[in-house]
Amino acid sequence: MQTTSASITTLIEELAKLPGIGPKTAQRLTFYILRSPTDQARRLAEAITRVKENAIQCSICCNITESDPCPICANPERDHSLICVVEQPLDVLALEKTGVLRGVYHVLHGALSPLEGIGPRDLKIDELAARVRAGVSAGAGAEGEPVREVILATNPNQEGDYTATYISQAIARPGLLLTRLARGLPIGGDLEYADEGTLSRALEGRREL
Amino acid sequence: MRVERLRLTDFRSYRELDLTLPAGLTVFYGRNAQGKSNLLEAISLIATTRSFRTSSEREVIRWGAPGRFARVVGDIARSHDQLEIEVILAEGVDDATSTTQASETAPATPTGATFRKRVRVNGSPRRAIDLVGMAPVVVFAPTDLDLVTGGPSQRRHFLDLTLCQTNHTYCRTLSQYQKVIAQRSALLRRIREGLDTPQSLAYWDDQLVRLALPIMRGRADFLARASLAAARVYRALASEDEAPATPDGDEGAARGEADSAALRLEYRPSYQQPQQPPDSAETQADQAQQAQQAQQMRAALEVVRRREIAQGANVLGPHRDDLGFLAGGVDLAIYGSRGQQRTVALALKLAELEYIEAETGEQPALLLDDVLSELDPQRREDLLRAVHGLDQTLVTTTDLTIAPASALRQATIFEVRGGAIIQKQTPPAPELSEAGGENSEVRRDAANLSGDEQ
Repeated sequence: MQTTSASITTLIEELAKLPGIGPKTAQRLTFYILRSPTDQARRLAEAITRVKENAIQCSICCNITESDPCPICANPERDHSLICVVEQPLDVLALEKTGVLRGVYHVLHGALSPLEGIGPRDLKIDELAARVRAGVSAGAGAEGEPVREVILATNPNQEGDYTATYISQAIARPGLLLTRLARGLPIGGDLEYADEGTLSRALEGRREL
Repeated sequence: MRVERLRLTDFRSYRELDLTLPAGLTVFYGRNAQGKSNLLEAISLIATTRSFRTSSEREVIRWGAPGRFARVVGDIARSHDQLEIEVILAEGVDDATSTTQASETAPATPTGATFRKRVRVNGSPRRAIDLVGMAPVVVFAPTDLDLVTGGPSQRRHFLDLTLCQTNHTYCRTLSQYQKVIAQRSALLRRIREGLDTPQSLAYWDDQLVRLALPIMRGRADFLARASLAAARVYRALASEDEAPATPDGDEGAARGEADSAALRLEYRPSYQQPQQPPDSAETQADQAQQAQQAQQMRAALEVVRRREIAQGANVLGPHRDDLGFLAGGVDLAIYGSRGQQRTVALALKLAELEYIEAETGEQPALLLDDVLSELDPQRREDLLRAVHGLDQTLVTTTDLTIAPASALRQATIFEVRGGAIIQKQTPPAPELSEAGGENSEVRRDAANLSGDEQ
């Protein structure tokens, strides 16, 4: 890319590295920032720097947070004997929006994929195993209480399924309930637009009325 | 089904093309690199969403196309309805459409630009997989002549392409299976290097078995049915060979014998299912039998476990299957003459056409890309006689004179020169055609062939 300013070129290149941002959008954003007031640009720059400086990993659930333990792990109202295992911090946000889950989380930071060279040691699986072994003493819940249930909420694809299977073998112990999220039809959807894979899983998982 | 109208924008050598296609036999002739095959490629693209000529689809966008996209629109007449299928291949699409979802579905390219395929049927957007089987085609290109002698992957590709056009579940299962074996071979290499434990294989073993068995069943079913059709077509094509052969010459007689011996397609799976006792198949419920088969295959994977880890590769499964061609118990890939091998390839393609028609109720359009020059005069005539009466056959050739005259008389002929398509001949309307000897001869020949079919 040939522009008349090296700093413009740099910003375009940096923005284009972001997911979902193509070269065209990067150019548009760059010139938007260029035209915007100086303090607005500075606030953006500071926000970017701060998120890197202040964000740490919760020592219990491995979610990204600014305080350790994170607000969810520190909340005594939560059911600490129910752990929901997810791949990414964004999955926590999605589940929190439902307001249905009263338990706590564990963020793996990825899914197992031999093809991409991601093995068990690259994820927070050992941390989860230790957490289950130790029971609920580490959190704000009652001391020594065992973990009752682990929900494996990894993505419904091959890597996610493999990760769930692997974890269930790694942490299985008597009295521990291991569950997997149901899969099937989306709410408000149309039966005729569902793909065969989803529809056959929905049939397999049908429920008595 | 047939393609009634084909419209191209910046596709290969065509900047803009609007071509009306007739039913029956159509021949495109012209020198090399004039754009004949591009027409067949465009049709295969709307039929299978893939090009039969290249795996790098960005090649089809015309060099220097201003919009960096190619568009193919086909008006399709099917037995009960009419479809307009549109496929757009676009490179470096603008940001409005390059969402994160797009970057997931589009393969990453060396330049980092995105490449997208958009499909519309009667104006409404569809997924590429929905298109498969809507407007079926059978393509016969020069590389298909090596189907018998070429590598096993070519024969697997033939099986998969046919089954995918008729069976969505097969298509989906196959694509999942390919992901599983890619992950599994990566895992086998990781185990070999001590990065993972053999216990991790259990999940992938389950997945492999779950997906492999239906793929193998699909292939075996197809071959059992296509074998009959292929044998019939082969007999019709090969019997012609006997005529020129000297009846008293030992060699000629032996060749004639091998030719007319029944052709049999033999499925050669890399994992052989243990033979079931003949009575047990009936007594066992289907589901119980499938569960048993799964168990047996899982046990077979245990047996090859160490070899798989040592090799870092998947040893068992449909990705290692092959297909054999036998005539009179003789393996034609090894002992067949070059002519016989080509006849088998031809028979296989025509059997594929029949199979797809039986499965989908839609007769595929037959696309013969530059194969006439690869066949001897007798087989050329046999082939064009065999396709007589099909809904639509599109043929490309560099040399019009090698096409059998009897077939040409019934054909629509276009000359393709520098991307321009000039109609040279329209077929005679049935009532206007002279009751000449040649025409009735062709009809008689067609009747002979259909007589063979019974």
